[in-house]
Amino acid sequence: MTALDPAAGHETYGRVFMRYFRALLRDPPALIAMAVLAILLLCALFADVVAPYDPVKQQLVMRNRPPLTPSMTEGGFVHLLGTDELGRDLLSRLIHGGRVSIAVGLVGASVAALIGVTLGLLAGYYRGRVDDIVMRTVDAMAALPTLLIALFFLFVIGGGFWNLVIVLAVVRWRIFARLTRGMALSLREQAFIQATRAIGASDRRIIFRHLLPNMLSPILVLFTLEVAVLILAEAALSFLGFGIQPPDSSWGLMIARGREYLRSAWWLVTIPGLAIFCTTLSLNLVAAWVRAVTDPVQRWRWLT
Amino acid sequence: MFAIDSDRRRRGLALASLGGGLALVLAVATNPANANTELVIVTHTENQAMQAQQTYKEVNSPGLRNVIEQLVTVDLESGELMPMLATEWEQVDDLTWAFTLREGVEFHDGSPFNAESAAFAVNWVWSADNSFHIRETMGPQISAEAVDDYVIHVTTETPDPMIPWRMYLGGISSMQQIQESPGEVDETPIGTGPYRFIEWRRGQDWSAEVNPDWWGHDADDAYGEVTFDQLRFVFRTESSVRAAMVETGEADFAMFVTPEQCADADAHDGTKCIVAPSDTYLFLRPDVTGAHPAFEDLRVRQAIFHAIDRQAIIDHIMGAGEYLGGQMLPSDAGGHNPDVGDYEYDPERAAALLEEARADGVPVDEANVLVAARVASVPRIGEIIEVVGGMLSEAGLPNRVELQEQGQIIEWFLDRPGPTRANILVHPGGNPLWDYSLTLRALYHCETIVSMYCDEDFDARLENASELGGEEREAAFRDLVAEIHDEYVILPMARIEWAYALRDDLDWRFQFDQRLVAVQMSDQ
Amino acid sequence: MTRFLVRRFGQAILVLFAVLTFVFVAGRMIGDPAILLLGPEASAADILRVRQQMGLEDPLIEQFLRFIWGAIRGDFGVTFRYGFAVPDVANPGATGTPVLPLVLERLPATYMLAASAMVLACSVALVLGCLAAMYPRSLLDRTINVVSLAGVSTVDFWLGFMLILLLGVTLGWFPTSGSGSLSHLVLPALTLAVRPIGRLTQLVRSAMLDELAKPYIDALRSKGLSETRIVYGHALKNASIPVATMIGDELLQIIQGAIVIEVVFAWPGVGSLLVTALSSRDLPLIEAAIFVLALTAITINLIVDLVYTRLDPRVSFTGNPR
Repeated sequence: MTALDPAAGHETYGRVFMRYFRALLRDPPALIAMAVLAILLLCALFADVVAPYDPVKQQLVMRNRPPLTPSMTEGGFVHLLGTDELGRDLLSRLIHGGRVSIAVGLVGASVAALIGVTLGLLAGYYRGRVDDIVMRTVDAMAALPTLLIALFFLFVIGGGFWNLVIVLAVVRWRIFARLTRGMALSLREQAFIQATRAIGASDRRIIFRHLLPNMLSPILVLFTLEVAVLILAEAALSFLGFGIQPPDSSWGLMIARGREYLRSAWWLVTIPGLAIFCTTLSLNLVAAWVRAVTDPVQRWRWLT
Repeated sequence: MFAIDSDRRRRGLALASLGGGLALVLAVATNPANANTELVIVTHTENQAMQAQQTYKEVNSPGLRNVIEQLVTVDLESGELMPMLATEWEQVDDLTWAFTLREGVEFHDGSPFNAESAAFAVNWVWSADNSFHIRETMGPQISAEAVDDYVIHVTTETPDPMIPWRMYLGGISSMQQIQESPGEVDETPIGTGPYRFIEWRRGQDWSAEVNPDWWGHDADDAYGEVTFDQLRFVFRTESSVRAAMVETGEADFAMFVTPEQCADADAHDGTKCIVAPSDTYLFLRPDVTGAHPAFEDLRVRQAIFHAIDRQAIIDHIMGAGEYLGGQMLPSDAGGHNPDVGDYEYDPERAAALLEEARADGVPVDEANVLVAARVASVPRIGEIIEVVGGMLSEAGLPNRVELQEQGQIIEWFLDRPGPTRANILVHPGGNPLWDYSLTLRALYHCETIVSMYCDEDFDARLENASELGGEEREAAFRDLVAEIHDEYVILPMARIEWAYALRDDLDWRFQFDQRLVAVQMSDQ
Repeated sequence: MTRFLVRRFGQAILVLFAVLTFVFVAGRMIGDPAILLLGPEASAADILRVRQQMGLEDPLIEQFLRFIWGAIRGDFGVTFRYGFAVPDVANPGATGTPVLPLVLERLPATYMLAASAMVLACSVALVLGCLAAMYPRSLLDRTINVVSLAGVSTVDFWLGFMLILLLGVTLGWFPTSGSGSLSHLVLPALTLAVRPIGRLTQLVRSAMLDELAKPYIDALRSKGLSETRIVYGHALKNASIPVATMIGDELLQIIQGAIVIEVVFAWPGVGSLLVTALSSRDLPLIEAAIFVLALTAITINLIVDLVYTRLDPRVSFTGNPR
């Protein structure tokens, strides 16, 4: 937590945490969002335990049943969200599909952050040729319809989880690079970095001990936003048929598959759509909150 | 003419009864033409092209038969060939058929329809140089020549008793256009039909207007009557959107809606739904000759065939379709063998067969079975192969399921199976002629692309049978069908039936192979 | 200024070249175009003949140069999807349809959709953003904040289906799909505008907050100007500069978003054409569509950069414009 609030160095972790927690209590939307994200993460991590049914178990006689349909077998769990076009329990599919959607967002954003932050740091700290090459590439990519390029690339190499993650990371690293470079540029000129350098600290030490920790909260905010962006991108690509491929499933693919039942089984499209919406909205709310409480100008409003 | 005709009649009757509510539709007389009416039909795909050869497959180019006609047509009630641009036809010798053409017909560009232009059009469509896709419905190479002002001879290198039926497939378009402006052939159809092409707005629709000079306006043997002044075919790939357009009145007629949308259309005030059979069947094809040892083993193939509950797939996934039993074509097709049994659903027997094969050392579990289909080949194909995969797993055959793009599937078609391959393809096939020669060739012949089976002796007998006519032909095909049945090569999944949503007060005289022919539609 | 212009143009051309190279290399990976053109029924001899005519038997570098030269002249070859154009083997493509005109005739529809969504998004975002900034931390501000975040979080194609169902089918207010009249434009433009509305509202709000915190605002207030005058008459004008710089990015996002929305609403633009081309593996058509969309994006960026340098004199002509 100190990374979020470097000025709080003299306090104990517990007290810092409590201050943030109290701030969170005063912001109901952010609190709800945080809770939603926690639940989603737990569901994704323990999908096998949480899901009431096997998500691939087909029951053709039970297809397209509305939410709250009782189980066909004696003592079985009620189909809380109904069943899908092959009679599979929708809640279980939603939990397992969410695992894929969230994983695409998290892993994709992590890979993008890793590439982007590394290149951005190098560019901003060393400047010169590295900076030139990195920023030219970033500018060039910013001028391109990158989602389109991703679409074409996935068309060529085929969809699937890892291809999707790689393509999205390749397309989105520039966001992290630009942010990190900008911060590195301004930080490296600041007195405390200059002083550290003057006493002979190595570049590595400066970067990892001083630059990076001071950038963490903006990067964290961006990361949260990017997870949301990638979840939405996954949905769009899967909808067009170039993302996650059956029999794997994701929320985007569930919408795509359910759309021909839009009139007769509204839950097949509506529920996964709402699931994506709730997830991305929660991520956005949390990101906005983190930005607010870590912004030096606004922080006093939230932490006093 | 030929003994097959009696079968055609049977088939026609079967078709008519299958049509359900269609019988009612047929009984209603058509109204006189309304003033300035437009019929809007919403189709599932944009036309691939507007060439004459495209009329052979309505699903690829919906509505084109309103502009381009053929030499002959098929009558639904009798199941017989009927005159269209040709008024009579007869066999001259083993290799030659003579067609007498209708006089006084003009193409939409004003050029005359006569023996010269008709022969040219026939040669163009079936030409080896053009390699149009229609050639997949051809037997021996077809060629035509004018022998009189209004008589052409259609000849083949080896006998082909199916020639008149094949002439039902190939469209006749303007020779003048092909010769003088070949660049327009793809986009601007010029035929002799009741409607003249107006324009094709890509990505949106194409339209046609009534042809005042159509021969059918005052011919006794015309195949319908013009009641709409304009036609518009609107392209919408989303089935839910197509169904909604009929409901909101944006369209009069929607092609290919899902069973649920069909029920909605019936329930909704002002719209109805028609379910009608097609000439398309869905089949399941394991790799056979030269494939992975597991699939070369007859017991494993038997297990696959008996593990799949096809009736459940038809009832629950497809929503409509005809159960085909043990052979590819339904009982009214030429060459259907009533003595051939079903591949009945028997999961226990399937499991036992697999166990037996395993006990004999067949490497069933190393087969790495892939169940695949082409994206959007038929509606709900993704669900269908998932269910097939699920049923095979239940029987004890581990597998994975994959939908593939056109390009990937093509590579499959071109490669012969190898000892490491144990693929199962679920794919549609068409047989607009409803005659076994085409289907047997496509599915079992060594040299055709779809077939993964090879037995040269079988091929030789198939070639012989294809040259026969009448009862001999049917008997020969019946034997071949019985023989191939026991090899467990192709599992007939279903004959596909399509659902159409339409305005309540629109009559549609449904035609064979879901041709959307406007002169057979009218307001009540 | 001239040096900046030349440099900026040079960059744009370089980017375009990179896109073309990428498309060429990736395009060679999707399978033999001759088979794609002729279909699976073709004989080996036919395929070889067509391969030779298409130049596929030539060295790769020669093919690449020919591809680039073709792109410069706007010649991407003929389509596989529309028509089966190999009737005259001695002269392939004689009856084929060149792909570039197919793409260009779809371009106005895409531009119209994107422009409508953009105008809609800008107007809504300006109103919401200003309102939020005028009453910071009020209930109104918080509501607008959540609403705009909801906009950003929307699955747009999903919203499209919901709107078709609700406003098109159930209420019958608008046509469900297609194009042709102004009412056809409403649903797709609305769907496409939702996410930009969210993003731009946030942007306008923070730009306005920055502006309203500046000393000159207090000076205006002390002069007795009404709050509305201050906000809309003075602050908004200055706040629009940082917002305007984001317009290019936003437009780019909208054009990309249009690909999916066009499919949902059967809007006859380049996006739906591209998706059709992808599913029928019509490589020349795919290449042309990507080229045209990339060119559009690059041009938008170029224009925004140039306008920005005019708007904001602080940007140096030699340095990086952003």
